[in-house]
Amino acid sequence: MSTEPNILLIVTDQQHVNTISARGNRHVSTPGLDGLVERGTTFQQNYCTYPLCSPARSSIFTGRMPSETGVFENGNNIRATIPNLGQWLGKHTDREVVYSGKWHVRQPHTACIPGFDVIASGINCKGQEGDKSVTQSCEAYIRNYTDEKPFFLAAMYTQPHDIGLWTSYNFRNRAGFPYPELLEDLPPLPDNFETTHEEPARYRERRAGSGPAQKDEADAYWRYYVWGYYRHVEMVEAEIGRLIQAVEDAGRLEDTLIIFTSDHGEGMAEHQFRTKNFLYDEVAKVPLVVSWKGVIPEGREETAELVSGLDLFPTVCDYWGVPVPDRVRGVSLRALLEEGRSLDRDYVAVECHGGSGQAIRSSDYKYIAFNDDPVEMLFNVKEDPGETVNLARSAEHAEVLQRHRTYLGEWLEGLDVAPSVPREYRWRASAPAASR
Amino acid sequence: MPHKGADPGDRAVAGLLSPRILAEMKAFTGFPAVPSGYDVAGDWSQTYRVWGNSGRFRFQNKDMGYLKIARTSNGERVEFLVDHVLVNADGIENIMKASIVCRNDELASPVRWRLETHFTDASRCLRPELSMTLEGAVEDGQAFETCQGKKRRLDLASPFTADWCLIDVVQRCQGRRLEFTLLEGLTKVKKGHWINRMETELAEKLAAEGMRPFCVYQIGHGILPRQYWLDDADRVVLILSNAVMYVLDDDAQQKKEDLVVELIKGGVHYEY
Repeated sequence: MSTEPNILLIVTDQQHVNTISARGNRHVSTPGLDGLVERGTTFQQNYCTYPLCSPARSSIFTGRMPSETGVFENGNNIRATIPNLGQWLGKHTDREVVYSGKWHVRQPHTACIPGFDVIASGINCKGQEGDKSVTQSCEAYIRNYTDEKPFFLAAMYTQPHDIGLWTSYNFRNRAGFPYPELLEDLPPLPDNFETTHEEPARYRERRAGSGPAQKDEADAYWRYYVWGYYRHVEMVEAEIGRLIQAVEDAGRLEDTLIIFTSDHGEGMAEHQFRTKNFLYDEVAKVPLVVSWKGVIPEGREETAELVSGLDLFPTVCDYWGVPVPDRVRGVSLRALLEEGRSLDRDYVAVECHGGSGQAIRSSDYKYIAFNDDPVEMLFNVKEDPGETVNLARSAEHAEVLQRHRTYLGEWLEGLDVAPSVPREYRWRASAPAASR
Repeated sequence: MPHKGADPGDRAVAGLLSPRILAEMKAFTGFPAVPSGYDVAGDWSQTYRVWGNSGRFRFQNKDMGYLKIARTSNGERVEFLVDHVLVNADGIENIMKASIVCRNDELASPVRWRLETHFTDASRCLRPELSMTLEGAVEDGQAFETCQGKKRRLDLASPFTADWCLIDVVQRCQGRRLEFTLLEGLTKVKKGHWINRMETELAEKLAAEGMRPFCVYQIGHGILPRQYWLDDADRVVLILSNAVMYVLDDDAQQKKEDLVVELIKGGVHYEY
């Protein structure tokens, strides 16, 4: 066994954290991911840095917050002074650093990604077809690889992102429900479908415009959307299952670190939201499963440690003995994975400039504040994981609220915000939370 | 809200993507004539253009490759030869070539199959390190696959069929409901599938000219519902699943060539 493993990074696009059947969701069937869960460590408190494709991906590949990378919305380039993971590994090793699938920092799909050998580029916004190419290219690469040196391979899937097209067709469908035989088996609406707590105005406005047009049958169409989302997830998980099978067939499970995650989550009808770009947990939390047979404990569920998309870059560097660039915000998960050593983190942060918001997740609470709206939200996520009761105006939580404002101020103060970030997105330029 | 870069005059597909709407947006203009002596249960060859929609009528809708399937039958066995190309961004081609020998039953149940996959780079050179060969067979009622020398048993319960065989199955099923396990792309096992006939009143609203006023749909784990639309000769002329369409088009291979050349020249850019 090599002391430094091959690294297979598998990333889906827009996958809700609760979409793995082995984790108890009986409405979706994910045998491939279930196998990975059985073989590895699953994190239940893993957050993306920004629930939108390009910004979240910029963090995965740099270890920096989107406001630092300059990718504060979809379609921006990473700030030229910040290396991406491919460039960094290429600088510090002579190993193959290979990429397949969606990039989106800046172009969604491209054969030219700095620092990486791109073996398949995927098909724009069509994970339904393009994800097949991701699997086939990665599978062939793994099965044919004979070099002694470990490889880094990123398998970057586009599904279940196509759900956005699903809702655009089905939420405006006036022709009639296409498959009546499904109606009895549609999954139920989530417990936090209804939202009654105080929210920023833009959340209420967004909700008003995002539901099905079939007002008399709205619940059925919401449930059909969740059903359809699960099928999208199953499509990509079947690809992942095939890919992991290739690792096993190639006899490489014992020398390959497999990291599975998603760039961000999906509304999935929680809070009557769909898609992304807001700060509730359905989009801010993402799955994270890590396995390395014989090294990382199998079947372990990590429920308490707060981890972030920021941590993947330093974790990869750690496993390859590569130094971590200055100002990387994340930390290596290696000691936590292998020895259960706590990260001792007070909180993780999520930003969302499209909503001009910031979130701080601590062990028991989640705090959300906005640049352009006075409403603050505070949830006891231990007791209220669906984020249904806003405690920000609760007198008995005043100290908790203030503590989280301080966390946010401290976090923002430490950021090296990119010059390209517009003024209206800069917290310190307008309404620093700590001074409220 | 339109995607960034959308033509302001463009309009959203405000409803189910259907053959009727696809015809309206000119995603296809009619279908090839039925070959003389065409028999769904005989020997035939059909080529489909793969096309994707962005949720709008004009913005970023595009071809993505082609699928050619040739069926030959000797009475007891049916064989399908498959040539399937998916064009990735910047002209990278994902080439799949398969042969599937099946029982001549209602599900065209595979008994022996072979798949080759290849990739080119953005200058159209084959990348041999990304080529792969897989062979599969049913032996004593149990399915196995051998890939790059590694043999393993498949969790593939009968009845099963392959997605590439389903075009033939649908053409012969006359709308009967059939249940099966799906062997997708000859590589992925997906359970709990069925095909059934769509209720006529709805299908009539969705069908385009040149189609029968019904379709056969497929539902199951790991796929989005898929509709197979047939013409009067019972040929599958259109397969539609969410935003992706496979449309019968004799020029599909040439259109793929044109697309690859254009992508490599840098003539097509996508943003979202």
